[in-house]
Amino acid sequence: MQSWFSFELDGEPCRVESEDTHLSLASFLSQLDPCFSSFAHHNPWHNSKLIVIGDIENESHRFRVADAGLLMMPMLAGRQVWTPEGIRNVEPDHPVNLALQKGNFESGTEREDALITLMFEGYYRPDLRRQGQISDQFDAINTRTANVPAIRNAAAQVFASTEQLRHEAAQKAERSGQESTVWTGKKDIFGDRFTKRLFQINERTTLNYVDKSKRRFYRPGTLVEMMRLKAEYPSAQIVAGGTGLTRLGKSVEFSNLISLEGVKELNEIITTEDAWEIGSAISLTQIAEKIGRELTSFNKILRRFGSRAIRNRATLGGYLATAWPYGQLAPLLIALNARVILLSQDGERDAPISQFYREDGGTITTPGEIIRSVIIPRANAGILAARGITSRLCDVYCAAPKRTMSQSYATGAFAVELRDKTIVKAWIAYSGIAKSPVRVREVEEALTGKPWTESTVFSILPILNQAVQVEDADASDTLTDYRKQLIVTLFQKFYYQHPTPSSTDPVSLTATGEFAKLSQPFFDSLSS
Amino acid sequence: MSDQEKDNITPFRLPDEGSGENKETFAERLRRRKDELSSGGSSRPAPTWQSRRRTLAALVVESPHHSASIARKRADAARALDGVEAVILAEDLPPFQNSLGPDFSGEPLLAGDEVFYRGQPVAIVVATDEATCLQAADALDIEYHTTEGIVDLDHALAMKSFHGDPRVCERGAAKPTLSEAQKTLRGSFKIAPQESCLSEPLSVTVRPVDNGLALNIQSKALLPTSVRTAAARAADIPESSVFLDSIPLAGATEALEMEPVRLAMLATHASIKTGSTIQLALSSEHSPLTRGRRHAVQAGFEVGFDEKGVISALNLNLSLDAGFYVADSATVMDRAMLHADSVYAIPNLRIAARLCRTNTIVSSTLPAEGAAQGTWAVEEVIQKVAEAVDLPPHTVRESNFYNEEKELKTTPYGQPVNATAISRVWNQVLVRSDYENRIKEVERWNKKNSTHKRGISIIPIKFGLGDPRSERNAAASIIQILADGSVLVRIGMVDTNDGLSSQIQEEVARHLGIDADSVRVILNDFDVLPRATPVIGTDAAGLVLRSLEEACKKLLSRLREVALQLFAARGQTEIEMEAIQFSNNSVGSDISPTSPLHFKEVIEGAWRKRVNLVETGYHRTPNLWWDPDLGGGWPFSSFTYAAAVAEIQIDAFTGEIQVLRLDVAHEGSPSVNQSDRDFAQLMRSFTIGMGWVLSEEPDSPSRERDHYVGEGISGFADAPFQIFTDRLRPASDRSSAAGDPCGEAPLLLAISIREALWDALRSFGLDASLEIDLPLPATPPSVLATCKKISQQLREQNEEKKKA
Repeated sequence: MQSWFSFELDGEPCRVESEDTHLSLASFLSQLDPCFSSFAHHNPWHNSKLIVIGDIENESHRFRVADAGLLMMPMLAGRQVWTPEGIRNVEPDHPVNLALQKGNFESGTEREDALITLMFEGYYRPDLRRQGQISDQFDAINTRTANVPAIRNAAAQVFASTEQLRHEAAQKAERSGQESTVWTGKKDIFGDRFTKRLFQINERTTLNYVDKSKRRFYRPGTLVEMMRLKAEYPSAQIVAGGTGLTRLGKSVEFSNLISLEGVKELNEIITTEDAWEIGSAISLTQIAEKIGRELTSFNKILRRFGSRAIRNRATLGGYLATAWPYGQLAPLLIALNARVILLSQDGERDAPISQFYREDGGTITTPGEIIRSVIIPRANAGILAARGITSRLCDVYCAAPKRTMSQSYATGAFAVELRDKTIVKAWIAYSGIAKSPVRVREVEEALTGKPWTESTVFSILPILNQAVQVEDADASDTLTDYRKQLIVTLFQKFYYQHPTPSSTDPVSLTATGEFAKLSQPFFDSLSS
Repeated sequence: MSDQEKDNITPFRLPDEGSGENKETFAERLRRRKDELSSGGSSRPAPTWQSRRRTLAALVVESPHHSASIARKRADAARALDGVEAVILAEDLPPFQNSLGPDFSGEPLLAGDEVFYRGQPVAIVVATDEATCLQAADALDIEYHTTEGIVDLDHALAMKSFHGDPRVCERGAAKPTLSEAQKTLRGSFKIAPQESCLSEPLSVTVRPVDNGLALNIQSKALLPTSVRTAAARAADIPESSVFLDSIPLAGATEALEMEPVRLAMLATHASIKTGSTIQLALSSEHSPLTRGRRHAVQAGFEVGFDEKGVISALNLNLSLDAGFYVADSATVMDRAMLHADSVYAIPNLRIAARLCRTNTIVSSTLPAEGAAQGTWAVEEVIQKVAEAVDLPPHTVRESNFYNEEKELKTTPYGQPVNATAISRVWNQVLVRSDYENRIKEVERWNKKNSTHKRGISIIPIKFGLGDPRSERNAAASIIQILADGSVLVRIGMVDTNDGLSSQIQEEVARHLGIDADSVRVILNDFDVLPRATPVIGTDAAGLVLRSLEEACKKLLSRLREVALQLFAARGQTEIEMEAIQFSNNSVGSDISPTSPLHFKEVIEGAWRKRVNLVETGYHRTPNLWWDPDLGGGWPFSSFTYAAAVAEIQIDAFTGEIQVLRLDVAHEGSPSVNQSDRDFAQLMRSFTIGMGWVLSEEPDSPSRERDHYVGEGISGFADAPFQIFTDRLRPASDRSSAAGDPCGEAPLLLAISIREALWDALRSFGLDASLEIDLPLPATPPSVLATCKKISQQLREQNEEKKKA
């Protein structure tokens, strides 16, 4: 055991000694220096305090924005942290800082904090290429004090410049015959002060930390070690990203903590011919980066999940374990026919996601068990053909008071597998309408064997309406009525967006593209 | 305290300004306080060095009921707890101190025998830490006997529970004209409240300094000097002994005006009692005391018009929810009334407004408070008129404008309206948005699309800059020129992060003819400048800029003399003083053939000649008056005009709304280089309005459970997809130009979203024959419910037709 650990804060080593295991980075910073005093007041939903973490993820070096109020100090051991102050006060100015000095964004340094960190992360984000992604990148910003259109413009300019940088690096690599170096995090193409330091990070280290009140924080490196610790400290709390746990705030007495972040086996995505096995400790952002291209519905629902800073830390395992009734991912996982693998000392067992949740709002995990991974079957043509399926339509819909950062009213995910025009199998699942996600088997069965047509959908709607009950004691009548309506209309929307067996990609109903140019790239290499 | 003194404490008593105690001079009062402290004869202990070192936590114990009588208050158990330093009840306050002061219409600081709203402070507990405070609060034995309170406007109207008489502003004869009008329409609608949603909990720290003879106060407040006044009164010390450490704000919605005053008084009492530094917090960040709440309004109207939609008479009644104690509601009522004509020359107009008394707390410091409700009301009426005559709303709006050709050139209260400015912004936004074509496109879209419906609308606004309370329309500033020619500007105004300092820099630099970089601006300076300018509801920036202009003028006239002498010393005697110009860091005359002086040289000269380089500026808007009884006056320094076109889309599956495009034409600030600032202000203000219209569900006062309202604040992705703004030069000449036309006024433009929503609903089948109420805010559930109602009513109509 050690009573200290260290991490890198704004480019300088920072040693932390005997601080509480559950002390948040926000509290730590607010006591460190007056320039961080605003970090003392923290509210993840309304007033998040963002910083950037530099880390190594499966051999790639990455900057990720995170909410300092939702980070426990020991989670940072061996990592790099850049505060807004640190990003601002570098000579020569970081391009992001330069971009923010023009225009009236959120004048005054303290209030630019969230903006500068998000812009900084976006600057190094290789997958940030289109205008429509700006909203996803900046959804943690409080719009009452921010100037949204000005931020959009500045972001588009900054991201265009990095795209150009990446483009040039790729061209250079092509000429010299090397493999493409569009920034993968495996090679430093920026060569600035920040990336130079970033590439000095080695493997994620293990950590056995004990604080002054004898509470322990373990970050084991292997699954075996982790199971041993779990057996040794049965009451210990398992933490992954920590976004769910720290949300509870002061009211929780933290016992010993075991972090999954260092466990190799839980931090990888294994891609096979017919499925992805996603380790439970991988962040949602990483999952989206890995499988989002093929599984667009996953990307789609993530766009309405929390905010960028939360998605960067939240994990699939943590999501499943907390069993939040309004969670937006569960219905999609059900529709994708995903399975969860649970691990205990006695061995492994697995269950479909729909059976993972108990009706009372809990899950089937027993005290000795941890969630090891989630297996999502792939649905490419070859796999489907082997099963005699000609196409699989799958999508997810969510209705919420606003686009992001809010508790959704209801989420529905649907899938149908078709042989020619006939439905072979269907999945219909909702969350937000009961204590746990609901799968409507009655309707799924009713659909089976019928053709995928408007009349089938209309004939099924009354059954759907009957089959699902909305249970929410707290909600008003209007809200209950609304949710009841959503159960039907979300399914209708699914049909309208996927009207034929060949429409695996959703049909656009809104044509908002003419207004927003969402798919327009920041940087068009052809035009330059 | 003797029994007799105790009897004197009645909760509703205002501080007795006329009593002998208050007539004593500061010197006398200070001497008395010193004597009391030294003799130990005071009820108030002098802080010892031990007590001064400590920082104690204080917690406000709030009433959990809307309306109740307090049968019993016992604090013995709480006082006996370990770590509890004091428990203060109404009875424990010094005589004549249980009052919030004149602004609060007799509200007691701590409730006596009755509570009248949920959240009303009943006691303060002071202990070593917050946890102990919570324990002590639990240990307090307070027995409430609840009575049925009035929790909403409907109830208050039914019970005729009002504060005072209605105020009326009138022109022409509305009633007789109404009876003669071709068509009439009557109805009523509600305008929902909106909440401030502070992102950081409200807290106040009070530290005794100078042996208890002075206080240091740290609080987030929109009007810190009122905090100072209140704390001085609570501590019975002169105001000059209260020092303010104010904290810069992230935005104008991040603080309140009235509530910090209350908390500062409570904390001061706690600090006096214990002699320690007090950190006062509220029991929950959702506490009603931390909420600024926009006044809810119930509007009733009767309108007469012809078949072209030209309104001949309008009788508008506004009932505002003012809570149980009136804080600033009277002004809000005035502002609502003064904006209810908007840009429409309705010849016979009667606007009546009154305050309703409910068992809630309403204190509002949101931008455009009052103005937004008044403008909203008249736009809603016009919308209904347009529906009744079956004409596009924008045609009806246009035909009712104040117009150069019409006789009416003033508002009903007599302040002139600039009709040209209205048509200027209106025409500009029509062109910019390509309105006529867009209407057709929207129609085309709605015809072929059954799942997503679009709506488009155009709204003009007129916004009065300034506060009807004329005493608030003044600003002071100090300019100091240092030896090297750099300039220090001090402003007694809260920094609300709106970029004002850059505008001040620009203006001061322009006046003095120097670089903006050499001007340093200090906002939040209340020690040097005793009069703070309120930032909400006044033309604060305009006042400050004009006060600076005045100060610069005085400084320049002195510097001219210096320059003249310097020129003379060079032998250039032909230069006249009036001809000396200050620009680009140089001082000289245009006609002068010789090289001008550098600004620094002049300052150096002034320094050597001992010329005063410090100047105060002071500006009060001239000729402001407003007589509520007369319903007439000149309450605003000027009006600013703007117009907006909004296009929205409703998802018929979920009821979610996306704002597709927004076009705005507005008047800019008089400073040339402030277009970024104007744009930023415009967007912030508009966003607040958009949240009010679309997503911010207010907490219903009848709900006992805490509900996090901030969740509804519109997010980054909810912003309009496309935004085009045209910043026009201020219509009037520079000297009377509006200082800050984009601070609050754009909030009113969000009404265009609401009108666009009505337009979209029309494509769902809404017409004048249906009785549909569009709820506010238009959250997805309420939009979908409205669509459902429309189709239901249409179905019923069809069935009736079939039967017939």
